[in-house]
Amino acid sequence: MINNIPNESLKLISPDGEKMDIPPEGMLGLLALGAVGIKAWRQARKKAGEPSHWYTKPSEEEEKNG
Amino acid sequence: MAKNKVLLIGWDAADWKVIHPLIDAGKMPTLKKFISEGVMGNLATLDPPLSPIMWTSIGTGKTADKHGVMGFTQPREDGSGIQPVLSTSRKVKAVWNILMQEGYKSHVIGWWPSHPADPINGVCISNFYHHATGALDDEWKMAQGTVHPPELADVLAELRVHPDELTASHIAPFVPDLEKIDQTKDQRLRSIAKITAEASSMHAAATWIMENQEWDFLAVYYDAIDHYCHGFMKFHPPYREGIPQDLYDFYNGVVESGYRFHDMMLERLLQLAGNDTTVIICSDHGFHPDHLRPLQLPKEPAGPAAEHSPYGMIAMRGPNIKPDELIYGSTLLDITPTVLTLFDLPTARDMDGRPLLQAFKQTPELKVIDSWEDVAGDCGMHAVDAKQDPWLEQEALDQLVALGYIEPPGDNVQKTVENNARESKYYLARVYLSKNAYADALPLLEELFAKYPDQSRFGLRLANVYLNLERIAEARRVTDATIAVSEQSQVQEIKDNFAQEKLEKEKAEPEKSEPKEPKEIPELPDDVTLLEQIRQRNRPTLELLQGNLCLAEENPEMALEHFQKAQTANPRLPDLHISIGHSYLKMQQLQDAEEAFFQGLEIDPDSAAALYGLGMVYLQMRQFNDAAEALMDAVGRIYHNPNAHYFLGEAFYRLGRFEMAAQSWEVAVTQAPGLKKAHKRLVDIYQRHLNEAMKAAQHQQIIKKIVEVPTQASAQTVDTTLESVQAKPGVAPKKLVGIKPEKIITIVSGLPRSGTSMMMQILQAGGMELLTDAKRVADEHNPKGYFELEAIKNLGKDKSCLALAQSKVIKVIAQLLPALDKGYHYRVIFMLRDMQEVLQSQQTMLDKAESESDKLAQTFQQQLHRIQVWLRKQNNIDVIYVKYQDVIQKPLPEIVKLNYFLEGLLDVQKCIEVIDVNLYRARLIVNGS
Repeated sequence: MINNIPNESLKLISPDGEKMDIPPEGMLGLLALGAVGIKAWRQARKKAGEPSHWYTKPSEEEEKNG
Repeated sequence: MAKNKVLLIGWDAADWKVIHPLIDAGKMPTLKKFISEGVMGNLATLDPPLSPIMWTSIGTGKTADKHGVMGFTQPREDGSGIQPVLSTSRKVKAVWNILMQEGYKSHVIGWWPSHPADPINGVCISNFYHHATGALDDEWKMAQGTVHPPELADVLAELRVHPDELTASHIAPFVPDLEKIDQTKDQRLRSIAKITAEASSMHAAATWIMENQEWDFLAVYYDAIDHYCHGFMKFHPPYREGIPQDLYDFYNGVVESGYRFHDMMLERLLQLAGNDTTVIICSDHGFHPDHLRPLQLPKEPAGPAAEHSPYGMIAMRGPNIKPDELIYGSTLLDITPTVLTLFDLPTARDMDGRPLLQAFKQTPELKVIDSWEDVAGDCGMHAVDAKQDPWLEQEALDQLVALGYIEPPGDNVQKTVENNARESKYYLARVYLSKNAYADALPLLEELFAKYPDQSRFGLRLANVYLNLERIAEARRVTDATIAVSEQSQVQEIKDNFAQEKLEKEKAEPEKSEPKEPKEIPELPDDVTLLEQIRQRNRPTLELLQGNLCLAEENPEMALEHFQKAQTANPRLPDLHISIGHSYLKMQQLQDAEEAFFQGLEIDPDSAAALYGLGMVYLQMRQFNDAAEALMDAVGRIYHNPNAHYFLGEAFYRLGRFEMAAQSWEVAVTQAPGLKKAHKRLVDIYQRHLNEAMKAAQHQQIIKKIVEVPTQASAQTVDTTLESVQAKPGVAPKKLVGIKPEKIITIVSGLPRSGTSMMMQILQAGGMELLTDAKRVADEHNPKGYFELEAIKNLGKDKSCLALAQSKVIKVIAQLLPALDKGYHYRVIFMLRDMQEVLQSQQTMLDKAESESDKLAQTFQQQLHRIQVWLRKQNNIDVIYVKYQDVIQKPLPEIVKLNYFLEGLLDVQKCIEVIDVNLYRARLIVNGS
């Protein structure tokens, strides 16, 4: 079961009522949640040391800072 | 009505036939709850069933001839090639433009076509938004014009999901055994990832807008169900012969999982929309999930559309929407008028749909204006000269090619542009055909057929137009030419393939290291054999075509022979049983017709054509309740069918339900303004039953203004020379082959007052000898005599009179035919006449009122059916069915056909001379058939 609370504090609750971590590999249910699900999944990926999402061109400031 | 919020969700290709089993199995719980709280029904699609055309019709309430979106692509203005169809092709306001003009905040996500995004007062995200254009570590640019307002472009670009982001966790619900698939050879997992990522991108954008923006109206379009189905419906259960078992095992759950994913996304949308919002879910067409799945796709642009079914789905829920109800007769043109009504805004007379009022708890007051196009003010449409991003257009084109919807644009720009123009013209012609506007479709198809005679689809549609315009000779000419060209091109294709194969084998031989016996290449059969093989392969379709032509030529017996051959070759050929039913209907073998239409329904329970046919049968059987029910079912499936509404009106009229009859005829004339017979019925009913003189006068005025579409039916009858008609085969005798004419008894039969005396007179004039005793003399009812033999009335007990009848003609009423002596050979000329006319004539003769006529009609029909079945089983009897009305109205072809049956015994000219039109007195004023 996925319990969505806005402002990116998304929690996954198992059928037994246990809180679950968002898996970095993602799940279809997160995609079905739309914007909040995708953001939460990408955060979990970042936390796991994987690229958060597809390549975006860095801003000029980011490029300057290396 | 209070201000309302409306969420419109588009699920391309969603079909109840897939959804119902999933709901029953508890696999789409959100939609299950949704429909229990609202209404649901089929949504009839339009032709051609191509998504950009359909979704624009959904968004505008107008057909393509008005809205201007005519396919997947359009030529570039500078002539440099083609581009995906753009929002700027839309010539009319979409519902979001109208709502903006009326002060409502609207958002549109992914509508097809919507690039460049409309500059509306809310957010518009175009249909170019979600296509990934490179690998995960390539930069994923977003084309200029994808998002309006542009300042939201960066935020929304971030929400796109790239297919390469997805993992096995996302794909496993679709393909549980995914790890067993060799992805270097099988790209289908990649395809699932792409479809799923694209749907997720659109969904993320929609949910973000709902979370972060004010809104009154939001429309979001998902193309994923259509894409899952085009890729994987072939693997959907039940398993079909010819599908590789391993692929079936891997992919049989993809379509189901695609629907379940949409159910999950729906849950989120409904959560964000809240209970006060009216939510509409709809699809533009369905997708055959069952035995109607085509085994082969037509080799033509947009060929995959052959997998689409004619019924999309609609479900609607909201504060003023009835709970747990079915709605009928909806078309995708009704969505925009319904949305406008939900906002208490008027719909427009130039829209082709109407609000789905049956869905409302409290019927809203219906407001109508002439057109929204004339309403001034900023509506968020593009300036005419808006420029596009050519780079992303190419990506979108590639996608359409990959889906098989368009041909790969070749290097020859001119050819590509020409092909595009060709397809647009063809689609426009089909739009006109779907509106029964044959005169508009005709010049387009004539031009296409003249220019591209090798494309059988143009010839076949043109023949159909000619048929509908009653230009039968031209229909036959075009059909024959089309078949000939198609056969020749198939021969050529086989030869080319053979030559190619031979070349490849010859090339491959020298590369082999070890010498081997040279592989024998089979001989190519000669052209005649090839042609015969092709004809054998095409047999069912060819016979169906020929049969339909015969049917149009009013030769149902010959038509039936063609249909029976088609049936032998392919018993489940779509539409075959419908044509068989119409043949029997024309022959007035009503119970056979009923059975044929039921067989059509067995193949496709949703066949509107079969239901329409049944309605016609029951009308003729005078079972008006059954007729009304069948015709209501027919228009409940395909609402746009002016003839079905017309005959539904007839059924209601006979039931004494005059208001309903008037409503049906009004719908018929709305759908086909030139339908004169419906206007005439309206004049009559308003004058005689509903006391509405003004309305009657209005329709009287319209009748005067109607210009008949020119048909050549009458000219054809006049111009047809005896020789040309004689050259055509009539009904060939099948059982009396080799029997000498002097041994054959010719019998004129039928119900009393069905034209038997007239036929006796014709045969006598034509040179045949009659056996009569002249005991019954001419009177006012038969001024030229009865031509009867008194002894025949006692045929049940004494058959001796038959010995005198050999080589002669006698009259035997239908009910006495089973009493014929089996020791003789007979040719029966069976007269058919409209049952109401027969009864009217009999009642006049007996000076009786019509009160019992309904029961009598039923009894006569049943008797006729039994006798006709009996006749079919007799090996010593040949039969020809002759329609009384046809003999009067077009004697030449009828007598020629009869003469063919009688093996040339008649002097045709003399036969025609004795036909007296003035005898046709008990003619129906209203033609009920």
